[in-house]
Amino acid sequence: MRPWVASLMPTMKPFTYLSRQRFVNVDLLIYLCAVGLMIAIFIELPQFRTVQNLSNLLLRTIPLLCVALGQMILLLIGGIDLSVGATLSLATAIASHLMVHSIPLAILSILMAGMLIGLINGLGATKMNINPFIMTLGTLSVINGVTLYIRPRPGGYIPGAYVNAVLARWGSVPIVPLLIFCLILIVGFVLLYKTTYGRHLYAIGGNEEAARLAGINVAAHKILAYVICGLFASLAGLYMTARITSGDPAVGGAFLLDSIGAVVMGGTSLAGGRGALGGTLFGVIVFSTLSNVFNLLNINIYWQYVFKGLIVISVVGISWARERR
Amino acid sequence: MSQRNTSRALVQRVRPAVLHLNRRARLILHNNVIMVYIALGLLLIAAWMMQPYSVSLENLSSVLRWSSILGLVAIGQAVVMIAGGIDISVGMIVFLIYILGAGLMRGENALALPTLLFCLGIGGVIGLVNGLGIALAHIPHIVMTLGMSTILPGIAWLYSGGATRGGVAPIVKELGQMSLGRYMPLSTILWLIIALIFILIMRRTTLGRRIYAVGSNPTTARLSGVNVNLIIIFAYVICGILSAGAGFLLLGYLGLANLRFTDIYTMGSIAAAVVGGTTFFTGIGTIEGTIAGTLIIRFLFNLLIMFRIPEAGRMVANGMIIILVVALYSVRRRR
Repeated sequence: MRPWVASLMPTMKPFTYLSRQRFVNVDLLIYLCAVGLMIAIFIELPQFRTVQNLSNLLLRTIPLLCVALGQMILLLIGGIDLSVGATLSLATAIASHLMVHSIPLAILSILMAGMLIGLINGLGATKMNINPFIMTLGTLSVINGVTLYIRPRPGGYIPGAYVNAVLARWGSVPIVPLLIFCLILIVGFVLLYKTTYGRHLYAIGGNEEAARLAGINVAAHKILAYVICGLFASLAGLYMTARITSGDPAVGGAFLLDSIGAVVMGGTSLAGGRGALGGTLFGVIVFSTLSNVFNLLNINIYWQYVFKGLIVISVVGISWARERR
Repeated sequence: MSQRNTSRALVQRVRPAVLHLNRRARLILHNNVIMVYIALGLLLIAAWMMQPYSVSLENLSSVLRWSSILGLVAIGQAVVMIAGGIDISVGMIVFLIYILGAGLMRGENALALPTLLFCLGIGGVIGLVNGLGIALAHIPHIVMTLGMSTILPGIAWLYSGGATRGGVAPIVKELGQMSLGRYMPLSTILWLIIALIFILIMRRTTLGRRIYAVGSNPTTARLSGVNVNLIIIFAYVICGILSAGAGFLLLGYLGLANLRFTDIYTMGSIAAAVVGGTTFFTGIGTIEGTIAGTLIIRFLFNLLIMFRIPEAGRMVANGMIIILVVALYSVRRRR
């Protein structure tokens, strides 16, 4: 199968299943519900269709896509990273202090911080044999503490040059964010489908022992996956910095649950070894559209918390029913 | 000659005793519970050397009072962890009950008891939902309880509408702040009694043994005729009820509800259970150890406050403790 076909597999799956014996299946239901919902939103909500709102939606999708891509890579190898949101907050906090002095220095140190966090997570999860849930839960607390220490409440100053560069528009179209969006997808595509590393990720997730016997250095691959996840989280933080033009210790809080929910909705298995980029993109778009629509409908932010929790729980619950087949 | 005989006899008499002592010492070193209590003692001595006030009766009494709140949550967390799970929603259960309790009581003594029972029921229902999702829908523990910990504060804020409602009944406030003698808070006694009950349940009853069995190997437990799903659900319900109790205790001690709630209970209870020798996903752990773990964690938090280290330092310490202790156990297990 050609790689670009593989990347679309989860979205194609309903149709391949249709031709087999099972007529109603869970994948199909999820996708039909989501697509139906999107169409309904598109028709029913005139304020959703406006160029301004759609470009707003794009701006909102980018950080989640970035974080979700990292999370997906980890779920593929049967790991998980609970510290992504905290890493994102830390990135904005560092930026709010360092960007005043030197923008390249700030970017460099943020990326280094993200990779360092990933390295620590990866070493703990592989070399120390700590369960990834527990390891990243611990680092989540540590990173949150560090973030609160350097930036106790939202604030700081982000140079206008940086903000304008990241969010540059061409007419009413946010051209640079659009480029970033495509770039993330291309990077993810190449990483997962065009490199040996990507193929090894699937092999490790499918059967770790078999992958080890086939000569793959499982520990090194896993550590690299954690580093990549940390890197993507800090990249999302860099983008978020431009959007909120300050440092905020709480901005990353929502990304943890959203990233897991979006990736699992896109068909990635929490047990590892199964998942595709197209599915993750789909999940991310659904998640960002939902919060966008909640805002358009003026739904209380606290109802949004409740809904989001329910959605993630039910999506993960359904995904088990899907895997049991 | 005779002297050699007597010395040999002496050696023969003493040797088994020494060997026995040696074995006893090794048993102690390998018994996590005793080690945790030794660690607690060492911590107290170290604290006394750094800052004598920290081990004064007034301060220890305050540590005990706060320990009782964290301790109730930690018992629930330990039960869930021994059953092979983890509950991240405990802190938010405490928060929800803290807000809900004040709103329902409306500062009236007559409503205090019904509110308490209702709150415990709510905690049980939340635990039941967690348990059902995990046992029947096979949602991973962390994702289920993480989702729950997003939903619960949403509900609490929706209920309060942005400002705290109601008030705490005088009798609850009085009981929550009462001490036996001068230094023994009533809530601590309550905590220790509940802990004792759970020690007995975990050690002496079939139910306790089943919980250990499910945690160490669910498949074996199922094949031996244990209803694994029921045990998991039971553990989460217990955890929910105990966390709700902790929320009520917090309300009684503080005497007012406040929406500015910092959640120390989720990470704190996990740290307490871990320090007390409970490990993740292996069905190992004790309630006795968790009590000592709670005291250690709470005393450390107290020291941090005493040295004027901000909340950030507490979070860093909490995360570091969890990682270090888990790493330590994992290295010991592998040897």
